[in-house]
Amino acid sequence: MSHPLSPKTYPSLKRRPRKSLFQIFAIPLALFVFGLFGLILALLETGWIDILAGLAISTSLVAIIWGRFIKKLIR
Amino acid sequence: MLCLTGLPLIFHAEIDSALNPPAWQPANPGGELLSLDEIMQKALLEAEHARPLFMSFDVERPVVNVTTQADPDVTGSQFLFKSYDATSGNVVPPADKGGKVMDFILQLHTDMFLGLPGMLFLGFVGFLFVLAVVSGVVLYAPFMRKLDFGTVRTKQSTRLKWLDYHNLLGVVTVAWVLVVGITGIINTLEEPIVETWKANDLKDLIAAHQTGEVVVAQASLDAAVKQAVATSPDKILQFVAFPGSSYSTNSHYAIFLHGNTPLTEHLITPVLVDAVSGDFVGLREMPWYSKALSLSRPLHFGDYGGLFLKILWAILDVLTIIVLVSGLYLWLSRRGRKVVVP
Repeated sequence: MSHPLSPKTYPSLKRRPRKSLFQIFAIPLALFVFGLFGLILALLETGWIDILAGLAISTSLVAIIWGRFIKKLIR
Repeated sequence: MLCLTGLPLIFHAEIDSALNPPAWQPANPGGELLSLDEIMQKALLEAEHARPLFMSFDVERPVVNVTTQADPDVTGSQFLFKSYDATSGNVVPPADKGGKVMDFILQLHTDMFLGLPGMLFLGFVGFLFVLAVVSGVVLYAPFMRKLDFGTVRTKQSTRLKWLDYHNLLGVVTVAWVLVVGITGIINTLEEPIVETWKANDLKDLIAAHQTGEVVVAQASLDAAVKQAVATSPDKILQFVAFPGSSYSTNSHYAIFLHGNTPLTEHLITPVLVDAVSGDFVGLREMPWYSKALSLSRPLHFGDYGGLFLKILWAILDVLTIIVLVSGLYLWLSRRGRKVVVP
């Protein structure tokens, strides 16, 4: 038996093409790299670099707002 | 629980200074500082026959702390801890320890008042947490096969909406959650790691230069410190252990230096200087496992990159709480379903 929440139980989704693993993880992977980069950068340097590092970490937050809200508005 | 108690801990320094406004002011703010030898002299004048054990330094104010032992010939005799204004040599009254709430939260966060077993238990919980995050990333793929990044299906069911939020918030915070999770686990090993460092490396260094009788320190402390700092560029003075104390030999100043950036702040290098002749004797870098611990501390607490980073830490912490709670909800509601639809 399939999982109650597997995409199979949602027929409306069947029309859409299946994504490859790369397509699924492209954005999360980019965010992972940015986040890790920021966390370590802030550790190595102090001063204005901290702001840059913070911005790199903020990409995750931007991604939530973009993915959830802004993308819809553009369509 | 760890996320909730961790949230106020991010702002530990800010909350502490708000609860305890600095009441003390140095006698000559910005004035010339007394030498370490002069302060030591003052401390010993006040306590006859006392032997100096340690000298440490406040980070944010010109205060030097001196620990002495009242009667060194009597084992277990009283320790005396006094703070001196480095601009005048006056005694500084002990600071009000008003941060009881924060101490309570910190202890709840690190060992739940159970000491080492509690710490190791929380480390194990952290390990399970990291496994859960990894399994969540693996499960992300089948759920997102046909969805675009960031999709939240709000119009179908509450459960579906929270599933999508769980996936979205979970996957964007993976880097941070893994870093905080893994460094948190390493931090729970702090006691064994520090003990191992003391028992091996520090003990080796001390044993290699140990001598018979405890000598009376004669060499200039300032010159000794200057010499020690010169051996290790990018390191600054952390504290000094005197001959006969538990962190030194019977005849040396053990001068502990630490790094001057958030990355190297917890990397400690002990330097031995002969307390009679003032000659440099030897130093020892920390082993790799102590370095791993030292790097884990700032990465876990997020207190190394200013206020902006702390605020990000707080937001990411709240997002993690949402992921945890929604995960719990999804799991519980799944079990509920099974009962309804056998």
